[in-house]
Amino acid sequence: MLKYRFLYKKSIRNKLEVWITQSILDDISDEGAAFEIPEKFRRILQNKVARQFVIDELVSSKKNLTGTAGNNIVKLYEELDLKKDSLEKMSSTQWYIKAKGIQELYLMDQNDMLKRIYKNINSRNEYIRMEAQTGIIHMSGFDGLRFLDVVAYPLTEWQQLKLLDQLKLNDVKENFSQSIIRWLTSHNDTVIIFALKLAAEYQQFSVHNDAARALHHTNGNVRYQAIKTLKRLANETTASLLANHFPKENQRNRLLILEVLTDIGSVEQTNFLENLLNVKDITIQLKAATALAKAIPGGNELLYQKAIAQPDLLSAVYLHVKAALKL
Amino acid sequence: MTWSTIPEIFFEVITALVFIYSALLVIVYVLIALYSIGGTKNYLRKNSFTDYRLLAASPHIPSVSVLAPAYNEGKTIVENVRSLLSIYYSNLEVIIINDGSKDDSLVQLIEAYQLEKVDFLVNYQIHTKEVRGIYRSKNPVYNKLVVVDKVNGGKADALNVGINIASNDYLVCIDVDCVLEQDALLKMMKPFMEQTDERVIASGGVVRIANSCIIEDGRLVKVKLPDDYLPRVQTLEYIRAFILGRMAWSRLNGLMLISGAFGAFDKDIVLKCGGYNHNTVGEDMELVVRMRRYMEERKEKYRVTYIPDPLCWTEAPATYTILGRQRNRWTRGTYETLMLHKKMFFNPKYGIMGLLSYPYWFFYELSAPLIEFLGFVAFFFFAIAGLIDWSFFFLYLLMIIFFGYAYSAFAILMEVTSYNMYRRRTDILRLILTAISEPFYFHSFVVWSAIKGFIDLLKKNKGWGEMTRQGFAKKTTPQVQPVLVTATTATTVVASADLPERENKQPAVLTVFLLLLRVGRKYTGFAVVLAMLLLLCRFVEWGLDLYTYGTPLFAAKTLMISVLQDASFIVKATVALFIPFLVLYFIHKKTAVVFLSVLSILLCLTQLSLSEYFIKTLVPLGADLWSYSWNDIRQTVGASGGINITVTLLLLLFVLLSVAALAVIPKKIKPGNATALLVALVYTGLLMSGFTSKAEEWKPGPENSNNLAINKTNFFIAKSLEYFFPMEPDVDIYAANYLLSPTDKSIVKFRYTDEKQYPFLHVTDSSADVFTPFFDTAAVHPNIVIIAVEGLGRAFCGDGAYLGSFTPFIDSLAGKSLYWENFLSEGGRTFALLPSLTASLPFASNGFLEMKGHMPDHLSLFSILKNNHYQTGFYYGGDSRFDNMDYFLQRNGVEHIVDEAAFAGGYTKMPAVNGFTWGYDDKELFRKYFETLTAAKEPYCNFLLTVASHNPFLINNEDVYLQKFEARMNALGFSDKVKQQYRNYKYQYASILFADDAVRQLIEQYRQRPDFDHTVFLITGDHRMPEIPMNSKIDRYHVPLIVYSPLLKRRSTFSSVSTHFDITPTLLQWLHRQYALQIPDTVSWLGSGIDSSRSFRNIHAYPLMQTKTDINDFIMGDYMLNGSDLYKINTRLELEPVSNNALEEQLKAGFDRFKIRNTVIINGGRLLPDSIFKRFAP
Repeated sequence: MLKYRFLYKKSIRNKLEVWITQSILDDISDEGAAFEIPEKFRRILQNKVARQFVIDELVSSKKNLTGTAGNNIVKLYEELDLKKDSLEKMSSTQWYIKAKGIQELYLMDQNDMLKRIYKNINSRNEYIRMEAQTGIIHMSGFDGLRFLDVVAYPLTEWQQLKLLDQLKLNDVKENFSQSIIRWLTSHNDTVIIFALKLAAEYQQFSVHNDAARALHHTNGNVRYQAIKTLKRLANETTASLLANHFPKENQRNRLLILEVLTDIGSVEQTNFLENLLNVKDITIQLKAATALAKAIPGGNELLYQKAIAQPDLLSAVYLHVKAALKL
Repeated sequence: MTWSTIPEIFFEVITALVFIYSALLVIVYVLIALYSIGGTKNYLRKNSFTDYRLLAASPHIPSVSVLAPAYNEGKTIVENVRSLLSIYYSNLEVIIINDGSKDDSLVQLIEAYQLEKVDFLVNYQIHTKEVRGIYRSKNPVYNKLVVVDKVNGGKADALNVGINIASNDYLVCIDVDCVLEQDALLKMMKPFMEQTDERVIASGGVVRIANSCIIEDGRLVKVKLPDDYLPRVQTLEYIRAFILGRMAWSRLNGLMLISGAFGAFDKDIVLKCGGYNHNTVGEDMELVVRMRRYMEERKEKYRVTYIPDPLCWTEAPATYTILGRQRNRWTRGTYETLMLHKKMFFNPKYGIMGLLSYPYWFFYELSAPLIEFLGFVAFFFFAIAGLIDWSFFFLYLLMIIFFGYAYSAFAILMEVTSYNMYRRRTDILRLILTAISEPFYFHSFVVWSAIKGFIDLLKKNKGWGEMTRQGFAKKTTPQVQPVLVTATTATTVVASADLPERENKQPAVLTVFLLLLRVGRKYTGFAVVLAMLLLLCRFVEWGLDLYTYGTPLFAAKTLMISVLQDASFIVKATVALFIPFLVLYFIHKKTAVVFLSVLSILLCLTQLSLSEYFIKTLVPLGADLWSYSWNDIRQTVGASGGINITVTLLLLLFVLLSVAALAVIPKKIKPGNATALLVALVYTGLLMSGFTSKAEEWKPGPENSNNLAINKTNFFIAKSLEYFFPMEPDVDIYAANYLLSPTDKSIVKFRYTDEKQYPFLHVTDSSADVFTPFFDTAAVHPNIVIIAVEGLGRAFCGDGAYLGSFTPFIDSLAGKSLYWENFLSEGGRTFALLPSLTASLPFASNGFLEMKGHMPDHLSLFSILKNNHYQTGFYYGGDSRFDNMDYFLQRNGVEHIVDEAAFAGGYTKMPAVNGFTWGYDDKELFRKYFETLTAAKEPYCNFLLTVASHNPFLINNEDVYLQKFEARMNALGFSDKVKQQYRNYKYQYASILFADDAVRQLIEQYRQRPDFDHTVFLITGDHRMPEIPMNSKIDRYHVPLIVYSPLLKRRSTFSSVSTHFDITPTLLQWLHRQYALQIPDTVSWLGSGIDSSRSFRNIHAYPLMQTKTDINDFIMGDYMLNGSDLYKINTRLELEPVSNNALEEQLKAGFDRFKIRNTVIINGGRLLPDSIFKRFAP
């Protein structure tokens, strides 16, 4: 059985592969012109396995091709009436078939299916909703992000990565900072994190203060992302803001603040960093010393002087930082 | 019999355990495999939606530190590092930890990657050996690379250094010689990016075998199946373990092991847990278990995930030496990890981990080789002992082997349908061939290596003993000051004194021997205490016996034999207990000690209880216990006044004493190796020399002294074993030649009609009628009244009774009657009375009554007489449900069953002990009898069974009969000394005098009645009362038979031997001849009829059944067989041991003939054809 299926697939591959490739690459300038589909292929394509093979080929090509070739793919897909198959899959009760159906539809730019796909953004199955959300972005770009207003499940790091990647294919919406500000007040912590990432990614400087407010969020991961975002949106107040915020943070976020200060710190933080050299925590000590040496003008000299004054405590720290920064 | 059955029982138990274990193993494996396949399928489906390129390019990817410890890897290190540096991953640092290699690894790395030593402040968050230097490359191309040079401290220590130095959020620990797939880290890190409320703390990957694969520039170019056998079979092993195992555990969130060769961890949690444990060789598993435990104990949600893609390729050991060492290490690692976290074992607090994963690892991964090995050793011994059922064995072996094949084949199939790494058809074929050879060679080697691991563990006992006490919770990270590793420190490679593993030169046999000796030394102290306690029990038994009954006969000899029998038991018990102690000792010392102590105390308590029983009944308790119902036991024990507060307190005191002795004395006794060896040799010597079996044969002489000398526990255990594991007659029960009659002409033979269908059915023999010459013929059918007096033995009844007669009335009646002085009961207890006397029925397994609903159709005196228009009745002062008597009587259509329940007001019960009484005494019984009889029609056949002379011998008007006892002793002319001895049994004798008096009243009252002149009275005992010491084995059965009637023409005394079996055949044959009663012409009576020879002889060949559980006695001619002891029966019915093999064989053959027929009945055979039964059925 398995062998039969394997061989059958192989024979289909032999017959169809070249034809598909050729069809995709054909330069059909005339919008209305149709593909010529040889009779024998039509016959083969009555078989479900063969049709799925073609869909898979088209999907994987579509992921890599744009422009005319991309249009050709969609056209071929429509002409072979493969949409029917995808729709059938989308009604499946098996999650992986349904998710596959959604994926095929959005990749093939079947924008009329937007509504039906949208219905799945809160599916109980992680993969169905992930594909639905990705599909929405794929079809309607930044406008599609409105699903963030209603999404009930957490967006995993992985999904956020996928959405950000999907957004890259679209033109940046001029100003969507209002939306970001709205999402920053979401009850879904992962939506806040994602909004913060969007703000950073698309440099939405106008949400700086709203992002700063996220520093008071109860979820450490939200604050972590807020610190990261603030680095990207930094203005003259940010470094002091973070330094002041430092005592209220947990270890992980404190370390991040020090890393951020290494990039955006200024003379104003000299005392703050100098004081941190005296704490017992070596990791903090090292990060503070690094920030001091790198971000503060004259900080390296200051560190050296301190190391001479307190060799037991700081000479090792100094040498470490010196080596790490290749000063 | 007895102890020779121990190996058999042991064998049965072992077989059953192995069977259960393997059945569970098979089930668990199948479930895991199926679950794993489902998990893998799901993973592959999810994977089809994942584009890893996204991850490779993203700045949001988690930061990873790869930790690769290296020790003496000079030959390949440069290439290996190149491979690691070529991994696709953007946010990465690669930390190579040179664990004090003695070769030039470091120098090579320095040269190849242009390394320079840098100043680095090492934060020793986890305590490790000293870091000698940190190296980074001057070439920015290698900026991911960090090389650490440290003092040698083992793999765990090296990894801990890596953890201290790592600057990223996640750790990926790998073996430096592993070749990773390019996208390995992307796939490995994805689960961490998918975590939601469940924190992903670790993720494991698949490890595949790289031998024979083509690797270029640190990259796997072509996958090939290893050419060498060892790596190939390991390939199969890995496929099985990873494809059919890990995924299931991950899916259940119960994964306990992430291979040390490739695993990813959340650094935060690793640090909180204190890093790798360098005290175990199983550091990879231990860390995962500890991290999980950390999360469980903080009740934080977490997952340990698993990636089924083949991501990591490693060189497998290609020689047996290295492979053996690896497996040895795995065993030790697993053991150490499980011991460190034994708190989780079946601990619901730890969820799946505690309830499933840990037990699985314990019972299967860890114990399987051990069980297999022990199974093999046991098999070896069983084979020598001839206990193996070879056909079963081979079937079983085949089943296991084929399960293994099926499992491997399934794994290969799954590999082909999922990842299909080995694409050549010949590769798959070779894998299958490898699977076929695996169980015979590779598997045995792996098991043996694991066993060596266990042996190594035992040798290092002290070391890990301390480690196990260290515990998880108390583990603290020592506060170590950070140390700056400066660039100026010398980089010379210093040979380390710490070698990771040292070879062991001691031969295995010696190791095992020394181990046994060590356990033996510990055991000796307990053995001494056990011996002391058991001797103390004997002391108590003798004290009680002396107190209750005075000095026994042949006291000195009896005492000596008692001690010898005890010694024999002590030897056996000590040796037997050593085996479980040994096994437990290896698992957990304290458990072994507690187990042994508890068992010793239980043994002594059993001994004391059995002694108490013996003192009360004068019979050692055998397997009877098992065949009485709980109610029967309660009634018997309750009525005999068994347990009261004094006894309880004394037992408690004894327990306290034992506990103290067991706690203190073994610590004081610390024998050296030589002493322990000597003790062991003496014990095994005694056991092997046959001392123990000989000691059990020694007997002082008189039955009571014999019984006193017996070690009661030994006897009880032996009898119980015999009961539960009976030795079937080892013959084909249908073989005609075995059913042939005896050759001895003097023995009565039956003419059997259809032995195969009805083993006991034979033609009725008219010679059974011996009454006709003695009786006048009455005008009407005579009434039959059978009086069975409880415990009425010939020892104290009738002329010439060796204890003197205590039944003056019955004696006087015997003088006017047909009197058989050498009559025998068929049973040693009441259970055999009714079926033997009224129906001459076989015993089946536990007495005919015990068959209850399974009783085959049968006829009896009752049913046949009823068929001849007799009224039938049964009268008993006790509860007729006892021994199922009521059921039997109902089956036989007895019309009037009058027992305890029928006695309305106006009747006085016997005095109660602990609220228990047997019911109404004999006088009340007879009073009730006459009350019922007035209404009865004639003719009648009534059976009266008395109960007053039963233990505890409490009767109404006791004082009167105690006085009569004194008077009777005077009349018998006893000296004061003799009287004093008899007074030890005064209650017994008084109850007999009472019974005799009751019979007197019965007969006198009868004489007043009109039906008296045509009534026949049969008076006998149900068995001889055992509570007065007995003389011999046959004494137990020796009862009188008195046939008294006004119809008698003349009186006579007979010395010939007959038994209760003979009464019904004789009575019926007589009534048939003299009164033309209808009786069947073929019957299944065991008895041939009473022998009316006046002189002593025995023409019968009958079995006798002393207790419900053993049919052990057989008489034939002048001989009696008791077990394997042959005795000659003399004219006074005393036994004299004889040794005559030919005779013994003859009796055994006769006994077997009965047993074979009896077996047919036990197995549902029939006694009578329907034609006969239906004609006479009640």
